[in-house]
Amino acid sequence: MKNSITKRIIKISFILGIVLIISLLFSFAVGSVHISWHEILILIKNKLTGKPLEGMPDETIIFQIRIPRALLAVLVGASLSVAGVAFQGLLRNPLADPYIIGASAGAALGATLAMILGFKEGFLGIAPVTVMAFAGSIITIFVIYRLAVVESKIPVETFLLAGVVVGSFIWAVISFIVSIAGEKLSIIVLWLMGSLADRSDWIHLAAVFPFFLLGSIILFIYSHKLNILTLGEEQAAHLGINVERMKLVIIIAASLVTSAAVSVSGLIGFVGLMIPHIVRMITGADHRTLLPASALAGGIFLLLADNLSRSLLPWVSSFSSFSSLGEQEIPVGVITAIIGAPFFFYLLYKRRKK
Amino acid sequence: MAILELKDVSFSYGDLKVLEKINLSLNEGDFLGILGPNGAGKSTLMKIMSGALKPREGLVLFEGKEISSVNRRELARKIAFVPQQMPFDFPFTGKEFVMMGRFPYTGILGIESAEDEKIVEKVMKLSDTAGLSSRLVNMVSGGERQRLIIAQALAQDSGTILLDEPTAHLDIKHQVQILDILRKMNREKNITAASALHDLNLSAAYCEKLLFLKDGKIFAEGTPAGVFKKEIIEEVFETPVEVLPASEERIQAVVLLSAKE
Repeated sequence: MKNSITKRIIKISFILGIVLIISLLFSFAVGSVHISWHEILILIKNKLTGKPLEGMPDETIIFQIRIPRALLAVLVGASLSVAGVAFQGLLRNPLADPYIIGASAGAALGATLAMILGFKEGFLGIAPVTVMAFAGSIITIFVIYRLAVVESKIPVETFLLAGVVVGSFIWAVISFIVSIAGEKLSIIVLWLMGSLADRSDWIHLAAVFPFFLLGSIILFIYSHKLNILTLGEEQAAHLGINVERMKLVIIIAASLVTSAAVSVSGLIGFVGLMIPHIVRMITGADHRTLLPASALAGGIFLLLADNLSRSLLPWVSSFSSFSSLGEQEIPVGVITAIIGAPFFFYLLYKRRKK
Repeated sequence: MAILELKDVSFSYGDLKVLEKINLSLNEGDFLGILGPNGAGKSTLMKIMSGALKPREGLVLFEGKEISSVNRRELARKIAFVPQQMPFDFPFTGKEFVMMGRFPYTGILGIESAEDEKIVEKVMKLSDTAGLSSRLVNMVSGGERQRLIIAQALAQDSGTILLDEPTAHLDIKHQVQILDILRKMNREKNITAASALHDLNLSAAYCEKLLFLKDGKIFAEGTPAGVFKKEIIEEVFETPVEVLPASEERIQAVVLLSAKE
């Protein structure tokens, strides 16, 4: 029995890790240009061993388009799921999601401003919309945090309420901007729906990854304390936890992870709510297994959803009468909600019947 | 030896005075029952004794030291607290739930040692929760939950347990079950216990010492035989009662007089 929790973490990570690798390889082959598995494997092998890739025309498609896009999908899905686990534990509500603290509203405002004002200059090659979305998200969470602090404590109810109020205000401002957006309306609306189409390159991957890594490590270190916190703040204190300091650390770590993800992907809903919930049904409530398992499952889910997002309309257009759809993508946020909501409902229903 | 000492402790929520000049000491091996009407300050007193609330005035000493100066983890190894209720929203197993009582002893990630496993197994047997080991705590009954909460507190392996109406919401069978566990721990392991309680007769049956709170002040304290008096109970609860004297079969008991029309 010794160290059984370590074994459980390794076991579940190993299984999901293999599923993730298979899903990734599968995703590299999805797209309008047909590239065979054989060629993809040779390309990756040659890249890793440093052999020349000349004479392989699909190199750019694989290494500059499909691989970064797939990795970004995994990264965003993992980020939203990890943050979802953290907020559900922190707020002691299995139905909380990472957008609950205003990260989404703030990011949306930042992105909308960048688009309407037509910012051209980004930062270190990162798109201006992403930079503004990240700044908007962080500023909003900070404002909500300041509003919620009472005598240097953060009562979670006040925190939620401040999130809702500030969120409503920001959404009103966004609605106003959208109403006068004119020809920029469609790009703003598309961003709000959540899509990985515009930011899938190595630079944006490199920009998001450190936030995910740092935030996830911190949250994993606190995962056992999250278990204790589900007993209520008072009981957690009785068991020896410095509750206020812990809440602050969780909020900062989860906010950074969420903001970074939202700033490259727009508002992809349902992942951060649904994945932790589903994984909890399988692994149980222990955050030490829930957190890594959710990260991997969230990555796999968004990756597969993004494959659908990329390939569904071109596939439909192959039946000639819809050929005008061939160049379009369905925003992945639409896919996650369309798959997610009924599936989630099914799980809840099945569970109730038990 | 006094484990906990309260000296002239007063507490108020804003302008509302809840406790006034409370002096009491909890000694090693005590089984103290704290009684009083709703709003008398029982829960507040329990939280002050556990260090969760700081008194506005007065001193709370744990083993002779100001309680707020004791390291939290250190304190959690010496005092366990059983609240009236706990949220049971997350599907932890019974064993995982009880294992959380080992938190003050574990290091990073709370990786459990063989000793933690042994202690949890032992306290689950003792509290009749071994059968709940792999059940999900959000699916168990009220009586089972309360036993799990007690088991978690016992897993803390602290010399002292403070309880805030641990038997509220339970039927008589489960109330007796919980109190039996506590009495057993108190007698066999010399665990010190102090509990806010609402059932007068059960308190008299189980506690060695009783303390009546009224309007934030200690109204009477002593052995059950000493404080179980008609005048005291009628004044504390503002209800006419009769105290039936102890007989060979049972201890003294309180009955309501106003119930019959």
